[in-house]
Amino acid sequence: MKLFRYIIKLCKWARGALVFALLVAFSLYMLFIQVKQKQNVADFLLSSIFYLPQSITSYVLRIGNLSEENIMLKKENGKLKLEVDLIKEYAIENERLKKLLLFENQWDYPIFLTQIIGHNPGTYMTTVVVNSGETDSIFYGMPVFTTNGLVGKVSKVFSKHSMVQLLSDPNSRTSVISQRSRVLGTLFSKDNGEMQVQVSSYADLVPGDTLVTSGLGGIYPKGIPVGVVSKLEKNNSEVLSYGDIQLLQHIESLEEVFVIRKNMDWIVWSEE
Amino acid sequence: MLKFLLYFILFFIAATLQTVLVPQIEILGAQPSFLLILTVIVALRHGTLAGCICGFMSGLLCDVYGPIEWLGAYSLSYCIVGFALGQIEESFIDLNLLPEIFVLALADFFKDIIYYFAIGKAGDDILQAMISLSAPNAIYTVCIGAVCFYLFSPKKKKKIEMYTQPGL
Repeated sequence: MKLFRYIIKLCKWARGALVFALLVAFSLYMLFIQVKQKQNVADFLLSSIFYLPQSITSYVLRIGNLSEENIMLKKENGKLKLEVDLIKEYAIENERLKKLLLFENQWDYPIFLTQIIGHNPGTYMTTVVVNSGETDSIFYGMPVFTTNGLVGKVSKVFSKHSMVQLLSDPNSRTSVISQRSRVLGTLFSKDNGEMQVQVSSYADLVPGDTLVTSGLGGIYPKGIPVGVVSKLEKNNSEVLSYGDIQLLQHIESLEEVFVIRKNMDWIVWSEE
Repeated sequence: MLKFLLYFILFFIAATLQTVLVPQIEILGAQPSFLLILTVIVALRHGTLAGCICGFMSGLLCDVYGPIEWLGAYSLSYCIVGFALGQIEESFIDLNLLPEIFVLALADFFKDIIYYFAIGKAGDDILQAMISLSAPNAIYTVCIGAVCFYLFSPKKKKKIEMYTQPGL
């Protein structure tokens, strides 16, 4: 009994040394075991004793990386948005070109696709510039139109680009015919950009009638859609009546146009 | 019990600082050791038992995050350092701030020497490693340790008062 008490006293007195000896022994044991066992010990320690500091460390590191990740994602998002916008633009262009391709086969004359690269300064569009010229076999007087309808004619040709006189030019006059009643009229533009048709007061023309090119005048082939009569003021006491026309192709939204490679049937008047 | 809880919390704070903050505040490859600072503080305040346990736990944490083939080397070195510094407290030697800082620097070198021996480095390699790795780390540790010692210093006064009581 005395011996037991003595041992307890000794342990209390030397507990520091005992614990130290145990810990050193454990350290040495860890140092000399095989690597696979060391891995197991490390895994055990990380998942038990050091689980809390390990989780705190991971959490703090994750938060630290968040701002960096945020910047990276923002950059990537911007890049992807740009790509999506480009793809959308390509899809729209693709649809437009598909339509143009189908439209191209409807005509007896060769058709050439060209792009608008400029227009006249001022409030009302009267002239546009296209990126094709003499080198692309574009010549004066060739009709210009889109899948929706007539646009105008080539008025000046340079080597690499050309100018197109639009229907909305007050100097332009176009012979048109009613698709329903076959009544002839002359399409012109007023100074404020509004389109009008001049017909005989007794002609059978009503609002809603579609006008197409008549084929007279030697420039435009017959049958190209031009516009719809939106309003007609008839005055039986006058010889001529005037009707407002809504063009089928909005002049302001032109991007690509067709040029019909058709020379004029005869020259009525030329600037050159 | 409260003291134990306090040091337990301090250990986790030091562990978090060691694993999260230290890589961020590295200067030219030199890294401070918060765990060594804690071991030294505990050993100088509470003796061999607390010193060697705290040192062992600190070393074990370093081992877990260090190279797996040397698992046990850090726990051995930290444990020996904790135990050795605990002897100062048990010899009733009371240190001021400056000697404490000096002890911390010595402890850092001592810990590294034991570690290098434990991983089987030869004499010249140890000298080379001491100059290129241990010295910058020790300087950095001492700088941060000085602040920590200052924060943990009030307890000493109480101890001095206890031993200067009349009649003792």
